Amino acid sequence: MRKYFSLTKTLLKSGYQVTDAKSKKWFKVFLYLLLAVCFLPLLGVIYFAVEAALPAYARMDQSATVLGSLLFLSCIIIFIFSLFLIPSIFYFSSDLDTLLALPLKSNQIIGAKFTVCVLYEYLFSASILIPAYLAYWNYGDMPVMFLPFGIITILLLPIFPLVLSTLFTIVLMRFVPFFQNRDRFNLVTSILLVALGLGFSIFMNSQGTQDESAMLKALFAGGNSLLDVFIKFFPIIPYFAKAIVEGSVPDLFLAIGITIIALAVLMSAGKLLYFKGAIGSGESSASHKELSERKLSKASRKGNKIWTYLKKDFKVIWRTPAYFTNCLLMVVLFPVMVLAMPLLSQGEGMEAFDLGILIQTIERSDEFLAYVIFFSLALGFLFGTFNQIAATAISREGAQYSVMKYLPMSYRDQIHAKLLLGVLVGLIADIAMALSAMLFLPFSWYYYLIFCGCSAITTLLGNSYSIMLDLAKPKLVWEQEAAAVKQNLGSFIAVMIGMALCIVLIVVCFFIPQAWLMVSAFGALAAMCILALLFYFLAGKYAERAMRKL
Amino acid sequence: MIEIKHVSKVYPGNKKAVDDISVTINDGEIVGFIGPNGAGKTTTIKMITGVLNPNEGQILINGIDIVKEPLKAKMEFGLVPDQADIFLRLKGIEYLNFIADMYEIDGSLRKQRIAQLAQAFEMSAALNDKILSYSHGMRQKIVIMGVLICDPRVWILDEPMTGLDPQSSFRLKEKMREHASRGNTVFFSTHVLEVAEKLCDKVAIINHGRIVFFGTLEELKAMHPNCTTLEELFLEVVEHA
Ligand SMILES: Nc1ncnc2c1ncn2[C@@H]1O[C@H](COP(=O)(O)OP(=O)(O)OP(=O)(O)O)[C@@H](O)[C@H]1O
Ligand SMILES: [Mg+2]
Repeated sequence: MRKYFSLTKTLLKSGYQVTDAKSKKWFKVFLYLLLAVCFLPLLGVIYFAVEAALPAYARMDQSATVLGSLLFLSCIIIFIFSLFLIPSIFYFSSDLDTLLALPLKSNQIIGAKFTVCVLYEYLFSASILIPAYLAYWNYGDMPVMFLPFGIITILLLPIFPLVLSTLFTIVLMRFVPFFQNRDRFNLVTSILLVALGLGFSIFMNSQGTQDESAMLKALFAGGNSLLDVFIKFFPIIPYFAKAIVEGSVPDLFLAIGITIIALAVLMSAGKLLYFKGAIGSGESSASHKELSERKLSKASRKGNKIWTYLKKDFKVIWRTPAYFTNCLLMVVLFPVMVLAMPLLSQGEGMEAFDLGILIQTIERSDEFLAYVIFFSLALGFLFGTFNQIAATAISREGAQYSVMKYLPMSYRDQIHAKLLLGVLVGLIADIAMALSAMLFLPFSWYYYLIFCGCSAITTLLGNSYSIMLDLAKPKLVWEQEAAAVKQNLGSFIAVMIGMALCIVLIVVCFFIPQAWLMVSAFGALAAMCILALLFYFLAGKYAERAMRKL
Repeated sequence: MIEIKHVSKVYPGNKKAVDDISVTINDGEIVGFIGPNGAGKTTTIKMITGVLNPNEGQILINGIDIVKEPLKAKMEFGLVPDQADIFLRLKGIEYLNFIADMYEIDGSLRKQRIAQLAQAFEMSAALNDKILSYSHGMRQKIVIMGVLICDPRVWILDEPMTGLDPQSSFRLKEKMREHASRGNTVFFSTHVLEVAEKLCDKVAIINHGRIVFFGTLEELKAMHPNCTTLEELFLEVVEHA
């Protein structure tokens, strides 16, 4: 037991951190506050949804159902998120090699890691359930034990879904060696995650519901057989719900009993399977094949420095799952999403007018070209910098940044190579967007050419300032590659600037008097051209200064 | 030729890691750099190679100032850093060609060298795999091969033998000697005193950021006639500096 406690404490201390170690304390507090503010609306939605649903159910004497739905929501969220979290904590974390070598029982490792997971999940269970409790409380007429039972539920609820996902992972890792490769696992799961997100948004769209409270109401609607099936996965839910709403002690004990049994099952399964799966969960595979003469000759051709450097960076992004999903996959998925949107929102008054005729009318107006230029410039910022390749160019090097310093290639060239890769991927995104838009917005083809040309300019500009931002404050200290792109404040700011510029340009062009539209459009185009070239050269100049200081 | 003139380095919020050192390594010399952990070896090497900027002093590589003309100076040397875990996502062959492109090595020449070195270091079967799948010693070898393929005039190696098997270690020493005998410069840090004894023309001993001895081992032995073994000699110099 002592070992378990001290291991848990150590894991917690060395755990997940949003900022790097050097950041100031106030900055961390600020970040958490920011997160909290972002979460508030969601909490509000839950509160008002419960408040709206409760009277009707209470009249039917079924007020536990509403709470049950929310318990279910917490469980399913915890379950899905932990499916992706558990493998990286139990099997792919960098501390595993050390832990496996220490004189620890598998149950001590599993217990400590599991505890850490449970602690993290309290964020979910608390932020979903507390607003619901508040709504119940305000509705009134709650039993005396409402509060203590509610708190016990928040504390115990995450355990059951976590046991399920951990069991699933342990079995998978033990018997399906395919997933023992970290890269492969990350790739499969992150594609799944994106697909899931996409599926969810498509589902929301197809429901034709605009606000989330209506969504929740739909979820509450009884007789939903799918929901019933899901609840069978989490048999604790009805007992917890009854315990809180009716103050029933036996139900609480039943729920606790089920949770304890689940934990016991996990522990015995862990004893049997964990070490066998954990040992040998490698990082990469090797073929050990000799390079053929022809391949060697093909590989050993002299190349242009900048091009070689660019190719190197691309290969790294392509082969690192965290970079692949964040920097490249989005380029593919974004156009798909654009394509999916009009297809799905059909039937909501879309066919009330003929799009083709509308477009022809728009095209005939004198200022149409001006709007095209403004929109293209604006969207170039958005699509061109969305990949974050330039915005994380130095951060991605991490501890390896010193290699940049001793390579016999000027910092200017290295930065330009990185910048150009961002521009290239950005251009592909621009073109892909144009192509997918072409399918359902029948503008004349040359407008799409204009779009590609104009957006290329702002894509260059966007990538240039992005890389300068990263040069100014790269995030070089990270444990896992994902942190370099996902928990990078600089790149987040760069994307935000891109969005802001995009919105500003679009809004501005609607405020310009008609007579001035054409002139200002070409003025903006010329200005962007000059700015793009200027920033491109500035980025190279700044690279020399900033890299020396690193 | 490497000229280190009155170079000092202070890490922010720390004591002096390197304190006013001056060493000149002539053409045709192999110089070993030895000293206890944390003495300042890696720091010195990082300053020579432009990874760190010295707070004071000047460093010339083949007469070119690394701070003033970094690009030209960098073409003159190749570095094996103390941390060989670099470019893990590239395949071995891709890494070698990347480095060769950086040093502007001709296609046919590099192909010949790659084939030759892969043989010598028994890496032929691994070149087509990602460096991520390499063992510690293999990673070290691929980085060393990167330098040997480009064959710059000055080699700077930070603990190059760690993790190498006896065979590869032998090959590397052979290459180093060959390189120096062609009138080039080799500067490497090591903790293995025997290597320093057998291989080096001179040794530089650093302790607490200061050079406590620079010269041939014969000179050192003459200075401390009561020491019989290398270890004793080393301890004597470091402790009574
Ligand atoms: N990034 C850094 N920040 C602060 N201090 C550092 C840093 N790197 C090294 N030091 C300090 O500088 C001194 C010299 O370190 P250095 O790495 O040069 O030693 P070394 O001789 O290479 O040691 P070893 O034999 O262990 O490789 C040490 O006291 C170390 O604590
Ligand atoms: Mg060192």
